Amino acid sequence: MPVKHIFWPLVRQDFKWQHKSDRVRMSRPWRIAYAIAITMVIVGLTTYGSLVGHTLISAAWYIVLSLPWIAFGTSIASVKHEWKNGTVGWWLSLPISRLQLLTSKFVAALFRVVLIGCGLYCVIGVLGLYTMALQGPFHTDVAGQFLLTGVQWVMLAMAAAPFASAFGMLFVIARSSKVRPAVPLIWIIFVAIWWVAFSQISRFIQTGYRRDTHALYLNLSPNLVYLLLASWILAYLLIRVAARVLDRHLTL
Amino acid sequence: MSKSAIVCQNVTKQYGVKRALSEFTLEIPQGRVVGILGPNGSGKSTLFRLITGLTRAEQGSIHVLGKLPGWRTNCDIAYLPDRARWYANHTVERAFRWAEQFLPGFDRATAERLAEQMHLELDMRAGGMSRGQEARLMLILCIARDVPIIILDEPFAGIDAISRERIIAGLIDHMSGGDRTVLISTHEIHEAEALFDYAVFLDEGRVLLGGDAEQLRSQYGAIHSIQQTLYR
Repeated sequence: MPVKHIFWPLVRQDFKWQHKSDRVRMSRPWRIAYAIAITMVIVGLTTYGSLVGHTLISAAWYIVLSLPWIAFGTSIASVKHEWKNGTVGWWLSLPISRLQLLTSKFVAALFRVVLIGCGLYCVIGVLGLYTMALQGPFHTDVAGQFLLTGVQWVMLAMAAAPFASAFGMLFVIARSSKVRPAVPLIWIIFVAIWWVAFSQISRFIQTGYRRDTHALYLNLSPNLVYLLLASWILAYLLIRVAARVLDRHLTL
Repeated sequence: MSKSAIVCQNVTKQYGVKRALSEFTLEIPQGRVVGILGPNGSGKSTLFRLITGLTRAEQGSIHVLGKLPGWRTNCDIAYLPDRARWYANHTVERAFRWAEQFLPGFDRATAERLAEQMHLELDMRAGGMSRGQEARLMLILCIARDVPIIILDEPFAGIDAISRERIIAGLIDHMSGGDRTVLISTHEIHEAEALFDYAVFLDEGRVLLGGDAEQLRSQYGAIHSIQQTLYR
């Protein structure tokens, strides 16, 4: 296969990567048992909460705000995995530029975030509708509004993921390079950017909740598009910087 | 006069205050099986990482087949890294498919022949392999490639004697009479000596001695006895 055609196969390989090493992977029956137990606990708590009136439907979609952090974590883990599993030499000696090597992991991390985001949306959506049905009366227009608001939240969280993922890449590469002393500084900048973004978030996003109907509203300012575009450009620059560090300043 | 596969001129590579290579100069001719020999910390792995573009030298120049090393020249190099492992979830068959996708010049038929010769089943998972089996798999992924340069960094490290014999037999069988340049670093000189037709001895980031293996043998005796004399 020509070198220029190995990018997408590499993305697929990085996407399939699993966090736990297969050398110590939990067996399938145990994974099924844990999945059933967790499902029963979640459904049980939701049922109990609904029946005694302590539901948190208004806050349910806030869970998807974890997606950028998941992107940050998976990016770090996917690069760290090469070092931890002893495959870093194979990875770095592939006949593909450092920028493409990192971009493939970056794209794979984003696909994973999309997959997790869709999964979270389904789980929260089903639990939300279940709660509404238990508490009654069930209004289809309210349920529709709830699900539509969920779509907005998930899209918003996914749109913030590239920046977090790119920062994760730079962070983990810097740790294995001569610029390691800059790692605390990178953290400070990362936290500062998030703090500024969240402190200004009310200028771009307005949320509302009607307790009687469980109806949730989310109004997004058109200016949010500029903020997200800026974060994507920044993500691209961070990936380029990380690739440069990987190419020039790596300590092996 | 034969062409050079690799030329290093006054190369210096430093890790913090420690110099891994110090004004290192070496010319490796094409088409030879070269033993890169020396004690731990003599600069063997650093030299290989520089040739494959994994790291960069602070000073000096390196040319691989006349080009500066980097990801582009890695199309022409099959590299087995030091202390490498393979993806634990891959079977031998999946590893070969991986190599077909990502490693230029990988020949599936050759790989399957070598796997049979080295007693590896296609459905064996790397995660369940012994260290020796995994080493054989990684070796096959390198030597089944039709590329001008093969670099094997400590391919026998931590491997039992039976696996070592199989690997060396496979190497001798596969590489004899080829026009490829093969660089092998190893501490198992007794067993690997028959492989080399060129040898380079390193110490503290410099070349102590190097040249045609036959000439060295005629001057100093067996390669392993040269090592004993040099590093006494």
